[in-house]
Amino acid sequence: MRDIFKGSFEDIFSRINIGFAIILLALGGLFGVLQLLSRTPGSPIKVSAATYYQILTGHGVFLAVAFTLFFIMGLTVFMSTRILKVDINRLLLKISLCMTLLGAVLAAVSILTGKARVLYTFYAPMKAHPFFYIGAALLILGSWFTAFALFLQYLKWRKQNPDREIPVPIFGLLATWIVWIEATIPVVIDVLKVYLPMALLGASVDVLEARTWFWFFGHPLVYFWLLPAITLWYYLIPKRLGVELFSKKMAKIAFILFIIYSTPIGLHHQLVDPGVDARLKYLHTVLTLIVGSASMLTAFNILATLERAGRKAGGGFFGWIIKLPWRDPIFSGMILALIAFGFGGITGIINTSYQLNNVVHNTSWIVGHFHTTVGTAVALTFMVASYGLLTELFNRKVIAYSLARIHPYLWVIGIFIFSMNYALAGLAGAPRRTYDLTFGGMAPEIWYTYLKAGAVGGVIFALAGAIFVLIFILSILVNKGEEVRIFKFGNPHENLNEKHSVIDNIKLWIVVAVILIILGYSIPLYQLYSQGLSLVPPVAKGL
Amino acid sequence: MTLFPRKLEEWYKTFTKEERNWLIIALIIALIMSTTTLTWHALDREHQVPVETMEVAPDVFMEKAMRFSMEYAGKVIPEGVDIYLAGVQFRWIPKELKLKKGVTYKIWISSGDVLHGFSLLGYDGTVYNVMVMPGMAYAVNVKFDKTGVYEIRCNEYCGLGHQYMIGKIVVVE
Repeated sequence: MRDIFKGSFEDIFSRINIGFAIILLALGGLFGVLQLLSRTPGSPIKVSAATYYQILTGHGVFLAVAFTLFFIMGLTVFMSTRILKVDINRLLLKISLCMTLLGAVLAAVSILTGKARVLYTFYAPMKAHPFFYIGAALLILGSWFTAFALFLQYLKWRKQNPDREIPVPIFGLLATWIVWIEATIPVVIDVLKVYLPMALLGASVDVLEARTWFWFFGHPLVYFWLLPAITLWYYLIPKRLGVELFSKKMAKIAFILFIIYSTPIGLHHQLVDPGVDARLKYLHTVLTLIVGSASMLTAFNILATLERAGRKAGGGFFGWIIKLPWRDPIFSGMILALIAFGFGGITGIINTSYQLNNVVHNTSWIVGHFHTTVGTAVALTFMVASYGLLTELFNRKVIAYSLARIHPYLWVIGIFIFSMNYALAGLAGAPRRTYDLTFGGMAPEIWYTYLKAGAVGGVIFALAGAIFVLIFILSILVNKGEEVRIFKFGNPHENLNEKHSVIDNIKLWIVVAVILIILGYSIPLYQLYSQGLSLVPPVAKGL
Repeated sequence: MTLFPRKLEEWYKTFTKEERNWLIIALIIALIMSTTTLTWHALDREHQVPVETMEVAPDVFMEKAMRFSMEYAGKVIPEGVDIYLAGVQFRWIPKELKLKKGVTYKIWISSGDVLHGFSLLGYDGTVYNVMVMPGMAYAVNVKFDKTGVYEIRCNEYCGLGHQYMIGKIVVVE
C-alpha cells in the first residue's frame, strides 16, 4: 500500500485522485442501491423519507460531480505527462489537489450530516448549509488549477514542437478542460451571486436567474464527463486492436464540435420553465441537435476502426465482428459503453425536442436516459480503463481477471433492464426523485411492473459495480505486480504529421466557442435581467 | 463503408467520401428535426409548450389560489374563468378542480415557496409536465375530450413530503 505514495509527484497526484474517485464510486453506488430498493414496491428494504432524499443527494453529488471530476483530474495528468513528455507545473497540481479535496470533504460532511437535502441540482430557493455551496465552489475553483497546469504543459510542448500536429488524446483532454472552463464560469457566478448570499445572509433569490445560470453550467458539464470517455475510446480501442484510428481528422472535428456547441444549448433543460422566451428555447433545441452530429462522427470513427481491425484479422463481410477481442474487458467495456451511449443519445434527442420534452420532463424516463449516458458511456469506460491504470499507474496485477471479463457485460445487461423499464415507467407518467412512487397505493398498476423489473436490472449492475470495486481495492491491497504497459505510450511523436493544419488551431475554436456562447446566452440573460428579478425568500423548512 | 470493402491502404487516407457523406447525413437529420419542430409548432394547436407567463410574488399568488379555492370548492368551474393553482409544501391549492368536458380553460400555475413540478396524469395515457416556479406564474391552456379523473402530482423534489402532493382534476359533462 505504501508504495502507492512513492514515485513521481505527477503519478502520486493521479493515484490519489483515481483512488478517491473509486471510493466515491463505491459510496455513491451503495446509496443508489439503497434508494432503488427503497422505492421498489414490495421490497423488504425501506429507508425513511429523510434518509431517502439525503442519499439521493449523495448519489448525485458523489457520482455525477465528484467521481467524474476526480477521475478525470487523475486521468488527465497520467496521460498528458506520458504523451507530451514535458514537465507539468507541480505547484498548480498541489493547489488543485488541496482545494478539491477540501471542497469535496465540506460538501460530503454537509450531505452526510443531513444538512443539505437539496439534491445535486440544489435548486433555489431551497437552502442548504453554507458548507454545501462553499464546498462546491472550492471543488470547482480547485479543479481550474489542474486545467491551467494542462494548458501550460501543452503550451510548453507547443513551443518545443512549433509545427507538429496535436496527438488525438491530447486534443481530447484539451477539449475536456476547455469545456469545463466554459461550463464552470456560469456556476461560479451562480454560487457567488445567488447561493452564497442566500445561504450566509438569507438574501432573497430569483429562481429563474438561479436556474438559468445553473443550466448554463449543467449541459456542458455532461460533455465534460463524456469527452474523456471519448478520448479513451479513441486512444485505447485502436491500441487494444493493434491498428491505427480510422480517422484522426474526424476525431478532432468531433472534439471541435463539442468545444463549440456544448455550451449555448443549456436552455433545453428549461423547455417547460415559465419566463423563458419560446424562440430562445427553439434556438437551443436546434443547437443541441447539431451537437448530436458530433457523436455520429464518433460512432462512425470507432466502428470503422473496429472493422479495419476485424478485417485485418481475416474477418469477412460480417465475420470481422467475431474476430474482435470480446474477452478483453477493456475492449468489450468500451464498445458496450459506446453502444449504450447510442441509446443515451437517442433518448437525449427526445429530451431536447421542444414539444416532446413536456411528456418526459422530470419523469423517470430521464433516470433511464442518464444511466445510459453518464452511468454507462462514462462510468463503464472509466471503470474498464481502471484495469489498465491498475497495471500501469498503480503497478498492480489485476486480481481475478476472469471476473473482470464478466463485469462489463453484467453491467450493461443490468443497465439495459433498468433503463428500459424506468424509461417506460416515465412514459406512463412516473416522476423521478420521489420517495414513494406508489403514492400510498394510488399509482397506476403498470408502474409497479416497470419499477419491479427495473429494480432487477439495478441490482444486476450494482453487482457488477461491486465486482469492479472489490477487484480494484483487492488488487491494490494484495496483488503487487510488474508494470504492464496497457496504454502503450510509445514515442510521443510517432505517426504525427510535421505540419499542423487549421484543425489544430485551438485558439481559433475557443474564439468561435466564445462567440457562439455570447450569441446563445446574451439574449436570455438580457431578457432575464431586463424584465426585472422576481425575488422570493429562501426556504429551509421541510427539507 | 461495410458495403464497399476497400484495399487496406485506402483505409489510412483521411476524410474519405463516406466520412464526408456521413457528416452531411448527420447534419441533414439535425436540419429535418429542427424543421419538424417548427412545423409541429405551426400545425398542432393542442399539445403546446405554454408561452404565457406572469411575474407574481409567492404570497400574492397564494392568496389568489386560496380565494379561488374557496369560491369554487365543489363547484364546476364555468367557461372563461381563469383558474389559479398553487403548489406549496406539500399540497396543491385547490386540491381538486371540477372542469367541463370540451371547454378550454386557462390554468395559472405557480408556487408559494420552493420549486415544484406540475405533472398531469390521465389513466388514458395523458402525461403533461411543466415547472412550477415561485415568483413566476405559467398559463397552461387545457381542454379535456373525455370525462373522468385526472391526477396532478408534484414531479420536482420540494422537500420531505414531496410524495404527498397529490391533486385531482375531475372532468364532467
